[in-house]
Amino acid sequence: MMRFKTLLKHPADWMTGHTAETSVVVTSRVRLARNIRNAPFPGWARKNQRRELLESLHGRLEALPEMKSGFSHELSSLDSLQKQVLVERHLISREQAARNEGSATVVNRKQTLSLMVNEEDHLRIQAIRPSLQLKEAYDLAHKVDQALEKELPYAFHPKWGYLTACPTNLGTGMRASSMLHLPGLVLSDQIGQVLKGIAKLGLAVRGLYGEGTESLGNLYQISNQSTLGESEKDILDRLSKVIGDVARYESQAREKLMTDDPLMVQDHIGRAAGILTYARIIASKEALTHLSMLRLGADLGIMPEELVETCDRLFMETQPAHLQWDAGSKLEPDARDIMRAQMIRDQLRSALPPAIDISGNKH
Amino acid sequence: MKCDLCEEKATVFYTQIADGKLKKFVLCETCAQEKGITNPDGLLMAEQVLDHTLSVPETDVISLGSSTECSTCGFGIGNYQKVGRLGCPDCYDAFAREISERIPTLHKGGAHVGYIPAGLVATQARDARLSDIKSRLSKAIDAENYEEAARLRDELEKVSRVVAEEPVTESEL
Repeated sequence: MMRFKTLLKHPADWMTGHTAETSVVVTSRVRLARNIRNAPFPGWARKNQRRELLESLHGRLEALPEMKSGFSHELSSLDSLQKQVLVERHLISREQAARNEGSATVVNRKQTLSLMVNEEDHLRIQAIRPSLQLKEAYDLAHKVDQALEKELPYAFHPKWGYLTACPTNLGTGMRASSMLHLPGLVLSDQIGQVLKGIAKLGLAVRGLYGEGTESLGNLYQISNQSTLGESEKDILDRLSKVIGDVARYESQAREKLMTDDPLMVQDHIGRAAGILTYARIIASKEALTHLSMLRLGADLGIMPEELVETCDRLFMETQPAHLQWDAGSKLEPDARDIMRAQMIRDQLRSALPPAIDISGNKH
Repeated sequence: MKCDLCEEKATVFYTQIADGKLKKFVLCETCAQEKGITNPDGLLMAEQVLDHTLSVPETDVISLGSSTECSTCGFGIGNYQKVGRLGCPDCYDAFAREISERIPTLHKGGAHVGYIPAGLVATQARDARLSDIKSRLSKAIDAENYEEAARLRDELEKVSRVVAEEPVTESEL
């Protein structure tokens, strides 16, 4: 099994390999909620009941061929920083990070599949793919689900489908979502309208880290809300269509901005590059805002193309827990802001070398 | 999980709703065969039982569950109203009325039409739903309620489409 250190050293499969397709739709995720018959849901179960359930599942999950030489840990054996890192990587939920006893996570080597035990539900199977590949992500999760259903007595109701701790997940137990980078719609002030339209279609829009999080770095998650009364295929088709439409609006907005007001776009991108290459102290929110503009610049061909991948990596690595993990110690926010600025400068240096050394060091 | 009749590992899960009572038991392969639950005739027998139950309209079956506490896990309905989550899978039977009232505010439909896990219970459940829809459809036609009949025909088509698969296969998606 992989150690935590090894897991972190490698970027997830979906974080690398930038293509034209990932310029707007960054990732697609599908998670299936499953529960075991005759066992209380994790939120209501006593500690020993959660432990028992974990013991009955853990070995089977680790033995899945997909999980070979993956990462497997009980949450109680990880410190709070490590858990926060996993949240930032979207490998566990914030909810699971807060829960300890009897909770575990199993992640495959490529970090495309993660299995969470005793989160809100007994088992959550999650798959992540780059770009708009909801069906591919579903296939990945579904394959694991099919392997497990042979051995696990899933709680399934003839009328209501898969039974989940919260009735909002009933039926398919499937939540599918894509992460979109929408700076064009934000700069052209069309984002509000688009988000309203999405909500009207009964889909949910959220910020970078799911429920209740604000949008940072112009990143938005679009997901299905209803899980009952529609088949997986219908949900995925409908969602993919809407996400494809939004991605098209974004591309059109970018084109229109470049035709109507190229100076404004160049100004945003230029300022972002200036700040990121010279800043000595930078907060997470400000960093994300400028990284978003830099990514846009790379997508538009104004900035070197390699910066897309650098920005995507920095989106994650400049998050508080990743920074502290990298530093090897707990850091106060002030110290984090200094480290964040340093990390960004280091990673941008090859593509955007600063013209002057402002640190006062003589050449 | 152990077989209800012996110490072997349970692989057959049986759910029956009859006379307004939900019964569940789990059996190992051997006991299930002895009791005739895995052979085709056994399945037919189960269907007869289910047909009989389902001649009662669906809502009546659902309205049975309106307890204040789940007898399996001790979770109270007040808790559900407070936290929006349930105590265990059986809570769905115990609080069926409250949950069915809330479902229209949460979901597009009131019944599952997606993937069904492979296995006996799933097949039974699907067959029971099909025969239930069929009987309601013929009633609707008798009553010349064509609007309802059209809706049921669509539902029947939807449900049988999912049953025809090795459920929703990967290539199909």
